[in-house]
Amino acid sequence: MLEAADFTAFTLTLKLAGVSTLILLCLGTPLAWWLSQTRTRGKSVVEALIALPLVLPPTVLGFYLLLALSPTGPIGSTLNSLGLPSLAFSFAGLVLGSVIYSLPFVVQPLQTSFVAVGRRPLEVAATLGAGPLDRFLNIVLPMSKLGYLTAIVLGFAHTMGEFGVVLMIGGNIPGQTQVLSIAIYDHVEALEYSQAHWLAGLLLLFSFLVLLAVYTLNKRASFLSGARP
Amino acid sequence: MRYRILSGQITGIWLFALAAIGTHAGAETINVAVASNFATTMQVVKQRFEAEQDHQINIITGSSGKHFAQIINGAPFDLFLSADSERPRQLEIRGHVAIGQRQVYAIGQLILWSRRPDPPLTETSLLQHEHNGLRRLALANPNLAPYGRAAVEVMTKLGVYEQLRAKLVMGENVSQAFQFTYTGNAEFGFVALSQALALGQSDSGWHIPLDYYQPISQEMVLLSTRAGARALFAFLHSAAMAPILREHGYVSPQR
Repeated sequence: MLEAADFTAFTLTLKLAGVSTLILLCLGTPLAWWLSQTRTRGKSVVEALIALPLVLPPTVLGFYLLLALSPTGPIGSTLNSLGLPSLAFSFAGLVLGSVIYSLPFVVQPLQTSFVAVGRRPLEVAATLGAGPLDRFLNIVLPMSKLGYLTAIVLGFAHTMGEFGVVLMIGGNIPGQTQVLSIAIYDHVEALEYSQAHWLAGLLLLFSFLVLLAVYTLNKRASFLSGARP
Repeated sequence: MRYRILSGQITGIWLFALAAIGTHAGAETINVAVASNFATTMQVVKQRFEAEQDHQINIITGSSGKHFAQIINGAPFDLFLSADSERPRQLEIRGHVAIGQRQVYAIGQLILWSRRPDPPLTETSLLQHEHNGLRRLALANPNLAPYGRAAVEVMTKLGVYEQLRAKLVMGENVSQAFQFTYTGNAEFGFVALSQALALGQSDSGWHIPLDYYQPISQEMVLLSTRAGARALFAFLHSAAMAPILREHGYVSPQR
């Protein structure tokens, strides 16, 4: 049935999705907040850039990353001159790829929910003497709970299912870059269909349970806060 | 009114049937599933074949594992040119191929290759990997690709496989191993001679002696009884193939 390598791939995938989602939340929150508040012309350009991974095949992203990470590429040569190890074929490299790849899935729901908060509550709070950080932490964040939930689930799930980018920059190293989707692909390619079945079924079940949990929580949260879905 | 519509349909069906018979009697379009590593060579074969015969070739490139899965699930391929001999053999065992319809069409050659042409690679480049700045060595996944299996055999023969293990990065196939090496993300790579030749950069690589690894026999199977498919199958193991194969970095199975 399943080998030790398959379980390693499974935990590695969870780790990759978890780390990437955390980083995405840290990056996505200020970015989405800025997009929700700004009226500069450059906004459309930034929005278009962020949405690019939705449109582009992951292989395009993977191909450019592979070029960028190479010793002569912009990222690779910079790391090289700083004496840092190359990111290609490493877990850190996959995290970088995943963050770019899943960025719109985190930024867009956050931006939408920040916009939905509106200016009024913030203005009211400001007249009552609340500073910017205070307003963000005590008004925007609680009112954007559903947005965060959506962002976390989409970011996590999208990274779990990542294939094209990892295929291009991973190098299939067990425990470092051999994620679940690659392991499944390898089993299919090697005609090990029963192992592919087990692993694919496991991923299917896991993904369904995660989504089910989220939607159940989501329903309860919107019921408690009295909001209509 | 109703009658006229019906007669129109009948005429349509007749025309369609005539067209079908027309195609069947003369030229056929045949679907050929081709392993990615042979795709460029197959383009040349296509030109020669179509110049000589009436039939047209539709080339479908992809990994052989995927083609295999598609064939056993009923893909409409007339001919399958695999990157290895294992999958054609499996198709024969599973009864998708009649006996005697399986042939070696090309023998692949492995080289150790680097993006930097200087210094040229040799056997010593592997033996002295500690001293020449080798950090990443690319190869095709040995479980999936015969070029990867051959690469492991070469490293084992030289007694460096265990030491090099931590430096290996695997592509799904030899095309990807080439990508890793071509972009410089891996300093050296075990790639196909055909790939380096396609770029005109084979001189700097180490042409690994053929007796260092088991032959990389690429086999094909005939999947249909159509005349065009049979003609191409015959063409692919005819003497006309030898110069094409040599030019593209393969050894002819004809000798």
